[in-house]
Amino acid sequence: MRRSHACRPTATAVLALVLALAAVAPPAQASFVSKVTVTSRELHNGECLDQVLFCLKPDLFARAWLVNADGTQVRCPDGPVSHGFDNIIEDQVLCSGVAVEGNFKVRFEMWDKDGTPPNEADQQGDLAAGAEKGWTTPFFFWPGLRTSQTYTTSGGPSWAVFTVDVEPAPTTITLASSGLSFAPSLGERVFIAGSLTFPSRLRITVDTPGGAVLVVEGPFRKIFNVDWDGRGPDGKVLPEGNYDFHVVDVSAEPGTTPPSASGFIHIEVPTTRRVSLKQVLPVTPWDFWAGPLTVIGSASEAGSFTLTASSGTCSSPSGPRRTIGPVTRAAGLFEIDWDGLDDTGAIAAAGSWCLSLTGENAQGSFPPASTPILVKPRSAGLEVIASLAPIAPAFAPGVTPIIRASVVDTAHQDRFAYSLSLIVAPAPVTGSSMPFAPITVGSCTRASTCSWPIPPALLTGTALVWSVTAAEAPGLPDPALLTATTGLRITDLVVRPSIATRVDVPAVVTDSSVSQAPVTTTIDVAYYPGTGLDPDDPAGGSRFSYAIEKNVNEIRGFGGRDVLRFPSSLVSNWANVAIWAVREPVTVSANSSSDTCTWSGLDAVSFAGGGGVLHDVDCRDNAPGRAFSAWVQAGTGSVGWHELHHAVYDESDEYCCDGGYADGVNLYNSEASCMDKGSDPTTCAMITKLDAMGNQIDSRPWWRSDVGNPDVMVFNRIENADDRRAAENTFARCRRGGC
Amino acid sequence: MLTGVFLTMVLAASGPGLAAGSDPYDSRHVELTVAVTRGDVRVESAALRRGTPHAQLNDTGALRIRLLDHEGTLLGESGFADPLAVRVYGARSDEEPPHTIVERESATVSVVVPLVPRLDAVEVSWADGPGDRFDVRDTIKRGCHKDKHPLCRQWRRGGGREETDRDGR
Repeated sequence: MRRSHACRPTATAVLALVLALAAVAPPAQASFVSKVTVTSRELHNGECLDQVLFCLKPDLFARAWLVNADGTQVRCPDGPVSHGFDNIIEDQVLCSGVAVEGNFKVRFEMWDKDGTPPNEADQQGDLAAGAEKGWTTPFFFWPGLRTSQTYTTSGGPSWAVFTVDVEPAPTTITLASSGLSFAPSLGERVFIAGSLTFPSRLRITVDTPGGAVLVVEGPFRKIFNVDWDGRGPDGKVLPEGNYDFHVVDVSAEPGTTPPSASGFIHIEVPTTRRVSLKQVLPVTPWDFWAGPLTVIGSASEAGSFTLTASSGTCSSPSGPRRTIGPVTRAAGLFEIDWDGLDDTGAIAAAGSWCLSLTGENAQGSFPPASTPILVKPRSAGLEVIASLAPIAPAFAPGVTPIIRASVVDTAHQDRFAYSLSLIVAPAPVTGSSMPFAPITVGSCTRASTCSWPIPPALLTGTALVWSVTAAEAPGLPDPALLTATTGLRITDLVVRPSIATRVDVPAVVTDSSVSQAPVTTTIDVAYYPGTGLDPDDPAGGSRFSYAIEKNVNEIRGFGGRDVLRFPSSLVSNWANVAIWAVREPVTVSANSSSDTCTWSGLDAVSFAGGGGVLHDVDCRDNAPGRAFSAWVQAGTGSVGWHELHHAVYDESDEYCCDGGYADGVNLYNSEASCMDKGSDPTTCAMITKLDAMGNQIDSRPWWRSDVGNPDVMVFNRIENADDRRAAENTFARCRRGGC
Repeated sequence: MLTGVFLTMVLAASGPGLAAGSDPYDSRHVELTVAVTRGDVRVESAALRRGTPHAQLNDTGALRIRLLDHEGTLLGESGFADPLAVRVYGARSDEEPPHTIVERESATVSVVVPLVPRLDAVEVSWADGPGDRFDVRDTIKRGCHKDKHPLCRQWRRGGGREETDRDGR
């Protein structure tokens, strides 16, 4: 390591570098995924990061983030901490070969390690102009484009030099089967399937005497499964024989041999009698509480066919079985449904089962065919999460909205339902009622998601009332079937000036008339368009609706990433939750000294229990009182989720030691209080702060009884016992009209 | 209980066939502008506003809000989140607590309270510290003048001292 005083590069040099980079037109995309290495080369401190009575020498270290185009971020491991130097010149690899999908930028930060408790927060050096202290590369790196760029930060009192190395991440193609067989003359289709290590653009072709047949070319993420009808370039079914197929990654780096895989397909013309099992739908493993499995068979001749499901493997079936048939079918493809019951009427136990197809006709028996399948245990719980898309169509004029629903289990992981159905009707404006005349739009079956177009006649109105219901399969034995509904919801289609727009608020039907549920029965959350998301701003206004959806999904425990999927007390009490949006923009700016977001004036919705200013200003979000700011590009955590627990459930933080504590909801001012009021008195513990070695370095005389992490009031995610109790107390009050 | 009183008023305000409170803009509340430091709480102004107040206020907030009649009888009490404590988010990884708390020296906040019968004054104070009592009777009287909204009528009937309803109701 070299430690020295170094000269800052001139502004002209930096500008020249930026202009040079800007002039380079990006070549064609090479791959969907990059492998990224970020190396810190120089750190130079030009400010006082560690002020005591005098300015201490800093303990510098480097930090880097890979910032995806959608705002999500990946943090590289921090560089090593130096001790007592203002200048560090050393190559320190922060990220090494990290796979990044799509366009991305790199944000580089310099920090001073400060280990002085209790205020042991590290100090961030200022490398950039404006409020943001981290320095972000000015242009996106293109996915898979091999490059090496060295940057010198500019704009702040401190500066740094770092390098970003990007190389394509070639995918590996694995075929599910390299030898396939089917009889297109019977109407059968063959499925070319496999998996990828990285998303890629694939071209799948079949070699025929008349030339290659293109089966598909397009992007695939992790798996591919495409069908082919066995027809040649002339559109005619090919004769019997073997035909090679090829799966090629056409997004591979030019000049290199692209990843590929090949196999063969045997086209048969049945000359002997046969029956085969071609496909089982929708998917296996399958949960029969989401409906029957459809078995697709194929026969060379007409006949009577019997489907037998046997517990166990196909080589040694045992235990319960179910026989369906015989059913008479013509030659070619046919379907038989299995509802998941065995011959005694009991539901199929989870585990391995074997499906066998036998048949006969006047000429004799067909040779049997069989295939193994897996049966899943019944999914735990059923909830339906639905919204219009865009979620606030009043703020997205020109976009024809649809209604979109997803089915989740208790943990908010995707699951299937037997049916998803929608009713929709015109809705009255705020403060009035109208006759309720719902239309059933249709339903999806055996689905985990469903989308419906809205009848055009309703789109000309000012508001919709709608309801989505999901249900498990009928006709199954106890325990009782689960159903879930969004309840009746109202969504405004147009903005009403000076009045909050209803994004998703509950409705009630009384004497065949529908009206909005009283706000005294609902927890009301209002969103405001902050700077960058002003609906009138052509540069970003269309993203206000997106920002609302992102925030609403976060409080519904329905985020885009697995870590943002969790049970939500709001979803459990959705009939008492209302989402609003305000038309008037709010100016958000970064405080020049603290880089926190500042704004003022949220008076439009006095009845809201929480207000969120959604914005596109890179400043530190914060929450004074019941309002909070939320940067639309924030990739981790959820300001709204945590803040609603403060503002609406009256909860305190459950970690040490920044204050704001109150006794009796989820934090307790004595051990006795905790044991008396806590959800689980056996788990009462003082909140403390530990160092890296696990030693207690600070505590306050406050106790918590919540157990299980990551708790919403500690790490902003799971609601534990005290949080659920606080929520239920609040909603019980709402149901009595006291919200 | 403040909420219960407020609910009674909202129910009384509802029209036939329409769920009570389904028009959150057709209600009345009192909005106070309050300047706060650790050593002082000062109510700077009050105004009668249209709309519904959130039953808001919480039970445990550091700032205490008390609704009083002209004899000083407590009509309702609730808390209000500490206006000087700002939760500042900075964690950009999943392993850190989401925010710290930054203390402001002063703040000016709007405190919205329901218009309840007999409301005469609002007292805003720190839980164990200084406070300010603000007479809202004249504010309500002016704001409700000729306003036939049920909440104004109810306030006039049961309200400010010997005040009577000039409309004869």
